[in-house]
Amino acid sequence: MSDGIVISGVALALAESGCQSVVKHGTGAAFEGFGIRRLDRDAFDRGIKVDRARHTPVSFRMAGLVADVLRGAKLNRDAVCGPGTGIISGSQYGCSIVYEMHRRLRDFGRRSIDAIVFAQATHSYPVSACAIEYGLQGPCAAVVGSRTAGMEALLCARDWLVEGRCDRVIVAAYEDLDGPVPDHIRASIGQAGRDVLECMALLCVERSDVALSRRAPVLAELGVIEHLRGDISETEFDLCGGDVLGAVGIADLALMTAGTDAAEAPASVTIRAIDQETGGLATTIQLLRRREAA
Amino acid sequence: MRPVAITGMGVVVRDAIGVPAFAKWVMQGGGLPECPVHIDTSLFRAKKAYAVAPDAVRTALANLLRRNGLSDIGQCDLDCAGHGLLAAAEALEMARLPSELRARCGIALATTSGGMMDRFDDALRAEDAASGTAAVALPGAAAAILSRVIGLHGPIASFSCACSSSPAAFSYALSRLRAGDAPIMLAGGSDRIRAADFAGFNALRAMDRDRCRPFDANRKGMVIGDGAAMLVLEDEDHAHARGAQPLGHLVETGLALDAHHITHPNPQGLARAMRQALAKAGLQPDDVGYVNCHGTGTPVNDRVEAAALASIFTDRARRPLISSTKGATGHLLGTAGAIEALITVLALGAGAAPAMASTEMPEETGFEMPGTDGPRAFEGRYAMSNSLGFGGINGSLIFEAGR
Repeated sequence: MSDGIVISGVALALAESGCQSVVKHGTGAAFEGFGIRRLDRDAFDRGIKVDRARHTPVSFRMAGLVADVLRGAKLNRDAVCGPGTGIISGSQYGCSIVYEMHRRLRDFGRRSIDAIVFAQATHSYPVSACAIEYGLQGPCAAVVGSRTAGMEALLCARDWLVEGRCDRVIVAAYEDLDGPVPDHIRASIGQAGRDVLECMALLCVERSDVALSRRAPVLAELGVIEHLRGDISETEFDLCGGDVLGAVGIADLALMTAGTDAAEAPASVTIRAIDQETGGLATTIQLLRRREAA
Repeated sequence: MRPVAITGMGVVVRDAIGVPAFAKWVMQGGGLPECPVHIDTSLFRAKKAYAVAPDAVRTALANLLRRNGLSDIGQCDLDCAGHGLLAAAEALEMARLPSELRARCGIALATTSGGMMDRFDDALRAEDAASGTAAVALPGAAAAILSRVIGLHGPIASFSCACSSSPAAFSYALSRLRAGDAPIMLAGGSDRIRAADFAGFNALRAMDRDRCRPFDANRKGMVIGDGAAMLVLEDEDHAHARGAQPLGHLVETGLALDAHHITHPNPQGLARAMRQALAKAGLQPDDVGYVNCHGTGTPVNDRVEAAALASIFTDRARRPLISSTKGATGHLLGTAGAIEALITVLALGAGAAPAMASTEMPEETGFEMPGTDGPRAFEGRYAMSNSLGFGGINGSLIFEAGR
């Protein structure tokens, strides 16, 4: 089923009611039907003086989760430094700092855009910043603009591995609900809808021979990723308890492979991301929780 | 690897809409930048650009949509994706793609601004709610509009990786074709200049006030531009079966990171991308007759790029001709790699690289370059197009002349 592509590490930050900072919008009648939940930004805000030139809130969170995903995959910095490791992100909205830059320019004029702000205001900044921090020199890209962005990023990672461009890829799917993004979500969703959750999910996707050679934990085997077209009747898996927009699919994969009860989960699961405008993507994964490489 | 044919191309820049006019214009060295008509740049240090006039796009697009039997589009869609639609329609027309095949065609779009993120706030104003601005404010909006208007129902993806977005889009399209996910992919880029681009590149002191002089001893920086370039990539057997004549072939791509600095490139990253593309294509550096460089005209970029090229093309006696066409078209940012891919295919077809009209005092790079007064011939069936982006993201594309 797989071309020998496996998931060897996962990391997830998902906004949830109760343990995360929750921003409930709904003062206007038009937006009473759902909430927008944000992740905690305290860690970034505390470190902002030293990190501002190096990190945005998104790249800061991503860099932390890269450390987690590598730890889970039993990899250290030396092992991923070099051309064998690539990185890719997928997000519907991308980085809110991009929208914020345009707002600053409109409100405060040209001098409000300095070199750092401008360089950081690209949707590929988080993956670039992580590449610099960890020395990743493999392929890199940022997919944006649809609910399938995260799954498209996973597809690209799979392509790179199958085509022999690198040995492993860090796949990051996220939504950054800062700045004007929540307003846009509310305007787009209208009066009713599921809660929208800020999320960042990372996978370490590797060629199985590479993972096996270092006796890495193999969490799942990745199947072929297929595009769904036409009248899409399938539904998304929806493990997150809310809408994670462009992180859908990848967040489900992270939850499923990291879940403590995954050993009892079905052996083969189909994960989907569906965008009503541009279509969908689906992949089948075989869960291999607790099956260490021989 | 399954061969991939290029069966159609389309392009929009300030001074030329359509491949025939563009080919003639760019081969002679293009034009000079001017102040855009639709953005007030008077407060910026560097004020000039190669910005497409919206009225020209509106008129050309109306004619093209009518000719192709496509329905008219709203103002927001036109503002967002007008350049891409024009280029895509021309490319599909050139490829003689019947409407039933378009439904199986996918799209891989590179972009900096993609949607109209600079109008994000406008989209939130209540009185603007019915205008459709909200829908086009997202970075993938242009690809979605192209898909909807032209009726493309294959795989769709948008790539926003700064100035290296286009190689990522071409690489994705190549993979979809080779995996058999679609028989035809429209790949390219579409962008429109935003005031923030002027503010940002001026803040970086990366812009020349007058003109872009790639690889010139007196170069001072880039000049930005906008427009679109789209290529119809098609499975070779599929193209052959329907009698389509390839204009050229996309042979391979290479993608690699510097892992060095956000705005300061490192030659090793681009060298890795070129090496990867050559190795996967089964080619030697000697096989490459021409390299269309990223060549932004900034002091650092051109120096680093020349060093990267020298590390790959080590035999000084058999080095390819190199050039940068950003002195002709400006720097189209996310779309730069797409328009330069199209120029590379045109160069392979003509057996000559475009003139570098603004490079009057060429710096010693160790490579031959065209002069200011006309195209320069080169030998070889293969050519390369390179892109470098913020964050050290590099891409290299290899093309072959039409067979």
